[in-house]
Amino acid sequence: MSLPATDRRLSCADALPLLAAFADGELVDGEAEAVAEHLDACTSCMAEVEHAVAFRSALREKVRPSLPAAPERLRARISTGLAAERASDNARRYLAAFGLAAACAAAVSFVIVRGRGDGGRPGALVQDAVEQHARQLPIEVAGQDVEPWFQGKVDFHVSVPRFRSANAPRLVGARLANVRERQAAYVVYDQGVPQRRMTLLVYPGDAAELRGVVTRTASVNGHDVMLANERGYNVAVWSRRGVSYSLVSDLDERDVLDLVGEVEER
Amino acid sequence: MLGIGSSQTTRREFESLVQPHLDGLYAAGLRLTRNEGDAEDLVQDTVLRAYRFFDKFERGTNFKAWLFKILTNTFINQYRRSTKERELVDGPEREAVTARLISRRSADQNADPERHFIDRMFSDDVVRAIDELPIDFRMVVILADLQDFSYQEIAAIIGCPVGTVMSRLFRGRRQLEKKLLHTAREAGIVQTPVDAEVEEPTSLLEYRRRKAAST
Repeated sequence: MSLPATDRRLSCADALPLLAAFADGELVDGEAEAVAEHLDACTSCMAEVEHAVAFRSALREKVRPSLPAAPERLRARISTGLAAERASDNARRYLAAFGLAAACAAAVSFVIVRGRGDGGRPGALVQDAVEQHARQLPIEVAGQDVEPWFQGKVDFHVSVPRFRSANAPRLVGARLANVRERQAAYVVYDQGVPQRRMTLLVYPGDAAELRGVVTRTASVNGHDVMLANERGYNVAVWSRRGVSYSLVSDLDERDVLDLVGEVEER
Repeated sequence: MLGIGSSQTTRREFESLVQPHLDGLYAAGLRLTRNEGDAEDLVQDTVLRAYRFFDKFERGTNFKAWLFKILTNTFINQYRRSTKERELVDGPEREAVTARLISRRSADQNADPERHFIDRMFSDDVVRAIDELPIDFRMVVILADLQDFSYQEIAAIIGCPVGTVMSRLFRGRRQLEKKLLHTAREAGIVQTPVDAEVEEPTSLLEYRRRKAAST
């Protein structure tokens, strides 16, 4: 025997907290029907719902037509950006075919640049770091102990940062790289997760000239770390003992700064 | 043989999936950053990151929500650093008063109960009122009312419980309406003062719990 209709009806006290969700079309199963039934008999709740619906639709009608479409130049930038990504994507697949992908995937690479520091545009070091990062070239020397390999190949002392925590990127190997016609060192780290790649560009000199292009400066272990964005990557730049480092990654700023804080003093 | 062709297919697949959402991303980005240059940068960064993480996207699932999640994450990560201390919008502040505002509201609707006073406002004023909302309110209003995401989708996008979404949406819309009412009153569009409290809809969840417990 089913209950008489009146016993199943919602009271105003029951219906009131449901009205906003009803107006948004978010009620499920018998809830919407129960509320609709209540509204049939309750003018004040009905007015409440009508107001909510009117507010929302008036808001949309007023605002949506004035929302601008994505500008052409943005679409062009995105196409160009994707094409650049695609180029590095091809490189990765090319390498995968030769079994070298493991060394490059999940890479944290340190590019160590010999030179007087970048005499050109300050932002160039950020862009170079991202460029190297995106190219994902195969390593030339594998293993944990890569510093001796650089002796005689670059004419400055290569000190490769290592991270303290257990799940930090692990050094996999290194190579030489060419950055603006200068010999650089490029060190690869593996984090075991395919999507996690970081590139660190290390070069002699002070990164102070970058202050104009970075978006903000954070303090890590008492040292200034500058942050910039390029092509969707987060770039962290800092100097230590006359050598500067540029770290490029997909990581969130917070994770990047945590990682920078872990770099062991050597 | 080297699989380079499949990379191009992936890119084309990605681009065709992203294409219809660019306007929406830009519009949302504009309301979040309140600056055209920043909005463009935000959308570009978002699309590039989405492409990089495209392997992680499960084909057939909600691409738009996935894309907007990357947008909001990128925004929070890169652009919010420049704003002041995060304005506290969640918390114990709960208006549990259930008061009837209907009588006043009916008077406000005056001659045409179907129309809302917003209809008589300038769109610039309405957009400005949205832009002035605290970011936590603004974000849910953008996602719900300008982008048509559901409570569940919004919860997934911003990474919080559905109850929080409902609460922020309810209070965000109410704050927005108050702001707009103020502007409209100053412009002479509205005369009747309207103010009242309505119970927050997060009790929807309590109602469901009670109902589930009683069956």
